Amino acid sequence: MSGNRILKNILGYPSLTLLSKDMRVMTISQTVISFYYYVLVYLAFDVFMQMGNQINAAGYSPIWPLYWSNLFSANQEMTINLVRFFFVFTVLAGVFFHKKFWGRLIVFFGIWQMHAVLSSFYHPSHQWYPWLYTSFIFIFLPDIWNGKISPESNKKFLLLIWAAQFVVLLAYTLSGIWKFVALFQQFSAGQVHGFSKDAFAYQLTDWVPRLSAKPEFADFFIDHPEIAWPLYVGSYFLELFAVWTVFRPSLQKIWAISLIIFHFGTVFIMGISFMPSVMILIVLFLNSPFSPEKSSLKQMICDLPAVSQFLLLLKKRG
Amino acid sequence: MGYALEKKVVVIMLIIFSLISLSLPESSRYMKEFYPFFGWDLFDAIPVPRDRYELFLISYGDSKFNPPLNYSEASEIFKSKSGFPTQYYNLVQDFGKAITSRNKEAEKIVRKKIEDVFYPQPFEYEIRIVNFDQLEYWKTKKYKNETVVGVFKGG
Repeated sequence: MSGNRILKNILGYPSLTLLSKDMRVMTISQTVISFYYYVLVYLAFDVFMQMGNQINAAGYSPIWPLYWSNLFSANQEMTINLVRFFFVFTVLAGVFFHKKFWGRLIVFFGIWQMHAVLSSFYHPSHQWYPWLYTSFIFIFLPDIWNGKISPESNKKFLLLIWAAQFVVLLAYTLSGIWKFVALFQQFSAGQVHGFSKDAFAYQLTDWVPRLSAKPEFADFFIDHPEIAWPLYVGSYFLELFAVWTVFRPSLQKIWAISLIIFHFGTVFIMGISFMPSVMILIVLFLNSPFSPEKSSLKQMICDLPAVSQFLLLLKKRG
Repeated sequence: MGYALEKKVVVIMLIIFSLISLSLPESSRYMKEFYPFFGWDLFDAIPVPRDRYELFLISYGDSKFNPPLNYSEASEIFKSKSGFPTQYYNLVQDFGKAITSRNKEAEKIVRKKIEDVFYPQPFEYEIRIVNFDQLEYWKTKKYKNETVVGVFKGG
């Protein structure tokens, strides 16, 4: 059996060739892309105000995408104002012109520059990374609007949406990987580790004092480790296996909703808002073109990591 | 580009992207040199009792703090500059390490970045190395031990 075949057996990714012939799938995929650019408008105005607060903020140290500001001797105020107005302009242009290559290209530039400003205060803006990566991928979408459908174009269209889903969920999986790496290291060193009863309490008591305001439920979870523990340990697995759902689309909706709940948790317990990440999960996964029209509970259980491989192994032996 | 080739290109680029991200375990600090790649090692390790550096304000403007105020509790000062204490955590650690390793060059650079938030008000602060258990400190507000490694004035 070829390496490709073995990989396909283990991963079992959806057949884009088959899906590209399904009009329902192609209609949903076009809707997803349009919705992606519409949702940016909602996020853009919030970011516009956020950047306004940074005009006179201390600690401004422009990173390399803002190199042009040195060339034109633009100071902090000028740079941030230029970038935020440019960002809103590109987002609004994206509403009307996202079906054009150049429309998606300028949206990417707008997000890139905006993200560079947000990340120029000694602290990267994690929440906008998924939008940066996906807006770059979507630049290369083929033109299948206005009746210009062809089998090749359809497949390429789905391929790029799939790739966008992959990079979004990869972030969660990487976060999960490092958590498990640290878990094993700390367990081996005899320290408090990720599966310890007070693990989440230690995270909160280290992080919360650095915030300007105490999150609403921080005290509750510090004082009740018996409630915090299963949720905290569950989040480890939720993150680790996130990227698996791009290979098992029946799990995408439930996983995305779980990640959204996870983000709500981080707001009210840790004071960390990841609204852009919540929105991209909504856009790309709650109406994913790859999710089966009807998913049974049995299908979803069979698609779970480890369960899926076990069943494949049984099938191979049988 | 035909679909078959494009698929190979996309898969290879995703693999490269994943490998780059996996190779950046320390990328959560000072993103400049790693942008636009990030390792996503967020809240991976459980904070254990350890040494770390803390900044304590002795005075700021007309206000004098006795005992000195931990910068994480001085959010109003940071808010006035549209920031918050968390943003300066890594800087404070770097400052402390520069002081204790007697790296004058690094000390000068980081000190300027930190003190930008206090200007134009006059200020005095100290950097301490503290050892504490986070959970115990939350309940008792006591460090296990602490030592002042530097006192600084400006403004």
